Amino acid sequence: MAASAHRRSRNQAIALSAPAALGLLLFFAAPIAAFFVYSFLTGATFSFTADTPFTLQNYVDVFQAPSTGDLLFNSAIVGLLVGITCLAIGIPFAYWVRYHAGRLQSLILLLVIAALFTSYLVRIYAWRSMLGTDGVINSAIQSLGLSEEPLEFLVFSRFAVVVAIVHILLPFVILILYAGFRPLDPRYFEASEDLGAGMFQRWRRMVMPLIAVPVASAFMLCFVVASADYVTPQFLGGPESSMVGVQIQNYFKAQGDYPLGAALAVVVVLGYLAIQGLILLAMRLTGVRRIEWGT
Amino acid sequence: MGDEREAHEPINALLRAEFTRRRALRYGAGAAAGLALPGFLAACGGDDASTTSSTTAASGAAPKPTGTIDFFGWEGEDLKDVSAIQTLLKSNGADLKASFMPTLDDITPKLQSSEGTDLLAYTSIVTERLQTADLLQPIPPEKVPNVSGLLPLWQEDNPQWIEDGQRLFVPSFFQTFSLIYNSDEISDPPSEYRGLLEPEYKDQIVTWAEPNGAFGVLSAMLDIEQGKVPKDRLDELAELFAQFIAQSKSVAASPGDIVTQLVAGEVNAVFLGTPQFTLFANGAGSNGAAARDVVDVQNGNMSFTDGYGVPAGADNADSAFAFINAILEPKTNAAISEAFAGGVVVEGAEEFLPKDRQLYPADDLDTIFETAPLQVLAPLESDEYVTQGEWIERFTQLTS
Repeated sequence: MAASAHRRSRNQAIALSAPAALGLLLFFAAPIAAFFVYSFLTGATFSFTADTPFTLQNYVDVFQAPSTGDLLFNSAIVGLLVGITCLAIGIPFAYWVRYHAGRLQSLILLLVIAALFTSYLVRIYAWRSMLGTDGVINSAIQSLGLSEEPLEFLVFSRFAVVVAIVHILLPFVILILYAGFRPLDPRYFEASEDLGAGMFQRWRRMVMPLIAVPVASAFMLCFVVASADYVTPQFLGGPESSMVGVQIQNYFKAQGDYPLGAALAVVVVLGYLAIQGLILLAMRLTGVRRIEWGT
Repeated sequence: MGDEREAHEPINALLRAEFTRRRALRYGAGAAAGLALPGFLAACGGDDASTTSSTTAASGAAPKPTGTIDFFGWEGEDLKDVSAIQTLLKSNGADLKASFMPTLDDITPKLQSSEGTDLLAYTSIVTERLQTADLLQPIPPEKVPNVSGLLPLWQEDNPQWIEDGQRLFVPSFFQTFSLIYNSDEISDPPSEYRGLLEPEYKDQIVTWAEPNGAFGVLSAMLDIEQGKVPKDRLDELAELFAQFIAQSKSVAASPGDIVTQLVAGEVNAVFLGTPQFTLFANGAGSNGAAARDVVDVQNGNMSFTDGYGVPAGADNADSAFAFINAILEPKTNAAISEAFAGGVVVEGAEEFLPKDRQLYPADDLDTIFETAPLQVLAPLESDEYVTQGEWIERFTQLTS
């Protein structure tokens, strides 16, 4: 009887997840696999040939290109800054919504989601207006007498890129973290307090291990999306702020060298997998993955 | 210097004239009348020296547009604001479905991945490349009889428009790159791009992130033939570009972005602008910038031609030919040139341009193209010259 129920439940789970799995297979795994194959082919103009044996030359070219190092560095820095900033804002915010917002919880979450209703480009331009030389922020700073001249670093800089991408990604991060806090019963906090844990100890020994998985997920989401962004840096970045996505685009569209573009894309994906692997390893070593969620 | 500025004044007077949608439409309406008139004259046995090519068109050889024309190309070049074209389409029950490209690099992937595009609006520098990939079809002169009215430059054999005797590209207007400046802030603009490297322009300029344009203009500044930069001069080219990057407040992703920065007052000058950007900047209503152009930039500049081609996979090619034929009517061509702040490419079109809009005198094309030779792309492969891949790699390195 129990075995039959278990089988039914398993079948149900498979049926429910099948559309998503199929979608991932078709629209994620298959293109990545195609890129992986392309990356070993020989490029022709806006084409490729499979006449010659598979080659590693594209990977050699990617690593020999003088710009690759700078582009990967720029991308990693922006990804890291965005990830850290989103978590620094998102964790306390999600915590507050979950445990202290009371009846306003749903309304606040709705407002968080509402931030996503505005188009990506509109938000980028909005930030340019706000951070610009004659923008709201510079005007306020000058009228408060904090600076006589407009602060030039506010716009067309890495700072501006990070601010805009944080604004774009923060709602997603808050939702992930809120979902992470959701099963964490408030009585855990009371129990740990009763046992003499201060706020710092409570967060370090109880909250952070319990929300480590959603925190890692949110960080990776931010890191991947921010470091792969090639639009925001072009609109808000300074003269030397290109990121790796721009070069992948160039290889495909400007040079028409699909295998070379595919090789760089594969390198980036492998980089993401390596970072994800390091995070999983760190979590395993610190034991956080062993923690089971309460019901 | 003062004399040079005076020499620019007619051009600047032209650019001070506010461009409005209404004006374009009004002019377009005139062009519509112009389009219909030659046919009427021909039918009546009338004659008009200024409409030689139109008379040819009225012979009935050009097909009529039918069905839906799938358009892909530069925004605005679907000519939805040029009423002559709209009249032609509507009177024949045809319509045009447009999708736009952000860069020339988008054409090849688009045409390779899907068929059905009937009409392509692009810049002639990529014609050869598209033809190499067999993406274009010849434009038969019997179906576009108005090509006979093109100015001599565009009748000559040039792989940007005619390959092996077959026409692949029909121009609609041409332009030079220009040095744009905000006249409220800069009273004495430089007459050459190098002037923007002076300390007073530090963080005052924006550079367009257009590697091909930069390559051409920088080559011209170093007095190197377009598209033939010896490999040992790549460093020199890159060093010159690095100076502009260091001087720039930003490297703008698109023309729209450049206009936005000009209008917002973030920058006061543009390296690699075109008169079209100036037109749009000045047309931004009460927030418009006091933007002016130095069009005849000295010591290194280049020009380019925009126009139309028909993809090999077009399934409504005859309608595309009809559209192309129509843009070569002198009045229509003048309307297009006015709308895009370009020069006319058809005999007799200039007289339909208002005097203050005659940016590029048709009788002085030799001088214009001597000062600003036609842009040519770097080769895709070469042992002798810098290839496009090598330049883009260096461009990316300098902007990262």
